[in-house]
Amino acid sequence: MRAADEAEFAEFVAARWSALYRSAYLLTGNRQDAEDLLQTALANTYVGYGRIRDRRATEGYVRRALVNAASRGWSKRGRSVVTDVVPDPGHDGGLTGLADHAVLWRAVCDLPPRMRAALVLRYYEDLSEAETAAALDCSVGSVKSQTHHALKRLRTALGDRSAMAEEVG
Amino acid sequence: MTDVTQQVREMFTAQGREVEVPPFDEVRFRGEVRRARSRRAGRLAVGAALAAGVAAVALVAVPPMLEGGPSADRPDGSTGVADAAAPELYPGELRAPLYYNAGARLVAATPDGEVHDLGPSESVIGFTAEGVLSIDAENRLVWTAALSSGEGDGSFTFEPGAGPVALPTTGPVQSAALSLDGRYLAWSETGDGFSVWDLKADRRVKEAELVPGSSVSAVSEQGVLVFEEGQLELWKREVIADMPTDRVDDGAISDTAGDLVTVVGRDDVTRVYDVTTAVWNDSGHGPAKLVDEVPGVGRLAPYARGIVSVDGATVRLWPASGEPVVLTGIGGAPQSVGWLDEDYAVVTAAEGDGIVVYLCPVADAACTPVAFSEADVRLAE
Repeated sequence: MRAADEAEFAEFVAARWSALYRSAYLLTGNRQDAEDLLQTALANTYVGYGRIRDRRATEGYVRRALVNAASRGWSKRGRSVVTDVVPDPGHDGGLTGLADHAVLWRAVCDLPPRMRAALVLRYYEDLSEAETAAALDCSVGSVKSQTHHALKRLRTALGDRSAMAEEVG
Repeated sequence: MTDVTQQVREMFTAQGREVEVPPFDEVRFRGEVRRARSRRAGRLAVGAALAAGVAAVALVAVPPMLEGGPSADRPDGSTGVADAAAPELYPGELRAPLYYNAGARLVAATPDGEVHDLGPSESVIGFTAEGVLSIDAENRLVWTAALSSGEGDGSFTFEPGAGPVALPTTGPVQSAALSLDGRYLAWSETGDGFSVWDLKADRRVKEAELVPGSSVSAVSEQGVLVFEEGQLELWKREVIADMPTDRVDDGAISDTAGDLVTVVGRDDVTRVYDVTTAVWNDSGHGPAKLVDEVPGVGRLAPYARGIVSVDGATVRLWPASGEPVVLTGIGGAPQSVGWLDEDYAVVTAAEGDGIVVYLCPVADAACTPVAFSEADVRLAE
């Protein structure tokens, strides 16, 4: 790689590491897997950097690599996803926002990788259905279907939580 | 209760905000780059200093990425060959076309000294005496036929889109492999299954479902080498041999030929397994037997007649029996290794302002430069 490219890529990593790591974490549900995934995506982008004509698109390449790997169920320790920090749902037995977040996060981590990736792209990255389809290399219909089924599962998880809270209450 | 999509948005924002972001690990990144180059090239690519395996030297030689950028034009920090001109080439040593990717182009170097640009290509899957199989920019398999002039002058013409048989798949593939003897083609279109085609008999010989996200890595008459759920498995006719190692990345360099499987671990050691000795359990699985370990990144020869490996600056031939031999005649920093056929290994090395491709006869282990490219060279996967 040319010296100028090397410096440019280093600048990109310094500027975008944190944001990309947060996305990787949401895609994998695990801090170690997130770092593994991001390191691999950055390395792949670095190796092909000379062929990226529009350098403003670099982040798009990295994000696409993240999503593609994550949606294939990527994990260096196999495909089992172990969430590492689940927020304390609280002890008041009520449906606090924090408790819902904990339930939702656990439910998101239990989703198949492609469904989880669709949710992250739609509701964290704020991509449109068409942009999500392009990132996942699938049809818009598939994105709609994946999102629909994912949200259905999450509603069920929240419903179970409500029912449990009512029983405890 | 608010709409679940709004809750999901808030939850993602909270989770993203609260997660502790680790600092960028540059040393590890350099290791990942090495592995990425290996995967892309189907070979090892090691910067000269890193390849030496001396971490302290490497950290000095490789310009730090996040500390003001590089201080020299050569990112590998090498100095010995920085100003060297490309060596004189001896393409006449070739007996058949040598195919590789130069940048994003498929290239054939022929014995008459010509270098043929065969069009856009993502990677070279493999080749036979009749032509080369590559993956185009749309991830489709493409045959390009090689036609000798018949005059004995070493000249060839090439016909993209033509091949020995019609390809059994025309759409995008996620992964594909051609056996080292050129007879079997394995591919996966969607990552949740694979097919194997006997190109000689022109018929499908096996297909199976896999866990989504799987990929085929290599194929031989023994079976199909598959990465599935973080494991490397050889799917034989009726049973599956598992490579009992946990130090392999999905997509790691791996080969199969004869009774052997080789795979390069994250520790840059090539492990050699005998897949005929497994004891199969009731579900048809059995562990392959580890029979050897080769330092560096190794590629298995057609018919399993040996391994060529690159370990830092040293390239070795490991015959099926006997002691390893160091290949000589290679200038610059060795980057990757492969095979032209069972009698000739191929080595690429960074030299001057480009990559030199060396042909190394097994018979005398003395390498000769046969091609040069200013673009990144990737040999057949």
